[in-house]
Amino acid sequence: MKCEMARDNVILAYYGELPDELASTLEQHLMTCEECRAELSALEGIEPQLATLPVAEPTPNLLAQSRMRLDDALDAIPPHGFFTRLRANFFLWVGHLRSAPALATLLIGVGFIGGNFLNRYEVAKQPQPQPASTSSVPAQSVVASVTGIDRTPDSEMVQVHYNRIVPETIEGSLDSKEIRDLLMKATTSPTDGIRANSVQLLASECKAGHECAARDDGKGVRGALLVSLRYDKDPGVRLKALEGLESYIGQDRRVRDAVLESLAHDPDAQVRMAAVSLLTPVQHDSSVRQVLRTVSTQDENPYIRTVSYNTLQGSDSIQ
Amino acid sequence: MKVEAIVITPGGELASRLSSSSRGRRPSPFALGLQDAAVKSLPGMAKAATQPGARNKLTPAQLEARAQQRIEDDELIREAQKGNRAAFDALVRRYDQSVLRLALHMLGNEQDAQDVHQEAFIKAYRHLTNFRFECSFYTWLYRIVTNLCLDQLRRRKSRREDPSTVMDSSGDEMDLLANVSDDRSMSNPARELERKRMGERILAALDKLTPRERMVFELKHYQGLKLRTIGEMLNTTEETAKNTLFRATRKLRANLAELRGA
Ligand SMILES: [Zn+2]
Repeated sequence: MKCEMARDNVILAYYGELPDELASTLEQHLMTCEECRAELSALEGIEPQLATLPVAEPTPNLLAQSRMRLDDALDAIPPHGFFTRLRANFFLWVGHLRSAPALATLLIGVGFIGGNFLNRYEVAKQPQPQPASTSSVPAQSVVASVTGIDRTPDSEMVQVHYNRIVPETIEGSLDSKEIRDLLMKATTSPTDGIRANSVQLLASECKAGHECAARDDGKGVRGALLVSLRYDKDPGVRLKALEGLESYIGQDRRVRDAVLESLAHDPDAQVRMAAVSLLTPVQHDSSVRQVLRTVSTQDENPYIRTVSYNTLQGSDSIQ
Repeated sequence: MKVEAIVITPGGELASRLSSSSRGRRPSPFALGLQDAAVKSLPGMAKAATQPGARNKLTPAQLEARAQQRIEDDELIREAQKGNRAAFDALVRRYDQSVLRLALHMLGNEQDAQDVHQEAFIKAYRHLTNFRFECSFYTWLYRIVTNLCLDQLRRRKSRREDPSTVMDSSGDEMDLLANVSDDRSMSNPARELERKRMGERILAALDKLTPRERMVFELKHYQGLKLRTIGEMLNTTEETAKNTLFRATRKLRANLAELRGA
C-alpha cells in the first residue's frame, strides 16, 4: 500500500468507514511505516480539541419557540389536497360569519405572544382576581396595521394612520352568551390547544343538555361541534366533538350524517371507532346500514371492519 | 380579532398539551453511536485504527429501530401528501430537534438555526408531493437543511473580507460556546476559560474550511452519518464526499497545529 493511500485509509478507519478487506493491508503498512503512524496519532491528537466543541442539544425553549413559529408559518400557507382545501374554505366562511363581543368563572386571554412559550401558559394559568368586566391595557397594545401615510410637502413632518390591537381578557360563566360566543370562535383558532379546550367545553355543555338545541341557521353550539367534527385537523378535537354530539344522534338527521361521514372518511382510526360505536342505537336507518356495509368490507382497520359487521348483523336480526 | 388562549380554572387541561409534544418521540437516527474515542497505546494503535466501524457501527436493535422508523415515515408522508396536516406535523416533531441541532452547530447561533428550521420545513411542506420515496425522508429533509446552512455560510464568507478577524467581529459564534458550558466547568473559572479559548480555536479552525468541507466534516464527525448518506444529502457521490472529508480533516489538523503553536 502506498503512503498516500494509507493516509486516506487511516481517516476512513478512524471514522469506521474502511472496508474490511482493506483493514489488514493498512494494519501491516502502519506496522512498518513510521510516517503514516505519525499521521494517525496526529489525527487522534485533534480529537480532544474537537471534543471541546460538543454538539449541544437545542434548549427546550428554543425548540418550543421554533415549533410555534413554524406552526404559524405553515398555517399561513394555502393548504393543498382536497380535504384541507375544503376545510380551509369552510373556516374562512365560518370566520366571516362570527364576530364576538364578549364578557364573564372562565378566563379568556385575547392577546399577543411575547417571548417565552412556557411562561405564557404559566402566566395564563394563574387565576386572576378580576370582576366580570372587560379590561384593556393600552400600554400593551400592538400596532395592527398602518392604514395611511401623509407627508407634508417640503418638511420633515409625516402623519401616520394606524390601528392598534388591544389585548383583552374576559372571565365569566359557561352559561353566559358572550363566553359561549367566544368559545365558538375559539373552535376555529389555528392553535390546537385552544380548539381542543373550546370544543371540549362546548361538548360537555351539550352532554349536560345546556344550550345545545339545533338551530335552523346551523349556528349555535351544536352547529359548531358539527363543524369541528367534520373539519378539524386534530383527531383529538374531532373525538371530543363526537362525544358532545352523542346524545343527538338518534334525533338529529344532520348529526347522524356527520357521524356517518366520519365513520366512512375520517383518516384517524380512533375517530372511526368512536363513530361506529355511536351508531348502534340507530342501526335501523337505511343510510346507516349502507355505510356500515361499506365500512365492514373496506375499512383498512380490521377491528373497525369487525365491529361494523357485527353491528350490521345485529340490525338484521332486529328486523 | 382572534382568541389567543383559553384557561380552564379547575384542574387545567393545558399541562397535557405541553407534555404531549415530547410524547412518543423515538431516538433520532442522528443521535445514534458517536463519541467513543478512546486513548490508545502505541503498540495497539495500528490494529485499533483499522478495526472497521470502530467509531459508529449500529447495533442490530438500532438498525431495527431505523427500519421501523422508515416504515412509519413513509406512512406519514403518504398521509401528508394527501393533504393531512397532522401527518406532516408528526414528521416535523420527529425530525425538528435533529434539524435544530445540526443548524445550531453549523451556524453557531440560535436565530440563524431557527430560521433554517422554519425555512427547511416550509420547503419540505411545499415540495412534499415531489417526494418519490427513493431515499429516506430524513435524507431528503437533510438535503434541504444542508443546502440552507451552506447558503448561510457562503453568505457569511462573502460578507467577510478578512478571515483573520472572524472571532473578533462575530459575537454570534460565542453564543454556541455559551450553550455548552456545564456545571463542572462553571465551578472552575480557570478551566472554564481554557475550555472557552479552546472552543474558539476550534471554531476559527472550522471557519477556515470551505462551507462544503465544513458541512461534510460536520455531518461525519459531529453527526456521525455514513459517507454514503452524506453524499446523498449533498447531491454528490460517496467518492466526492470521501475526498472532501480527507481534505477537511487534513486542513483542520494543520489549522489546529498552527493554533497550538501560536
Ligand atoms: Zn506510509
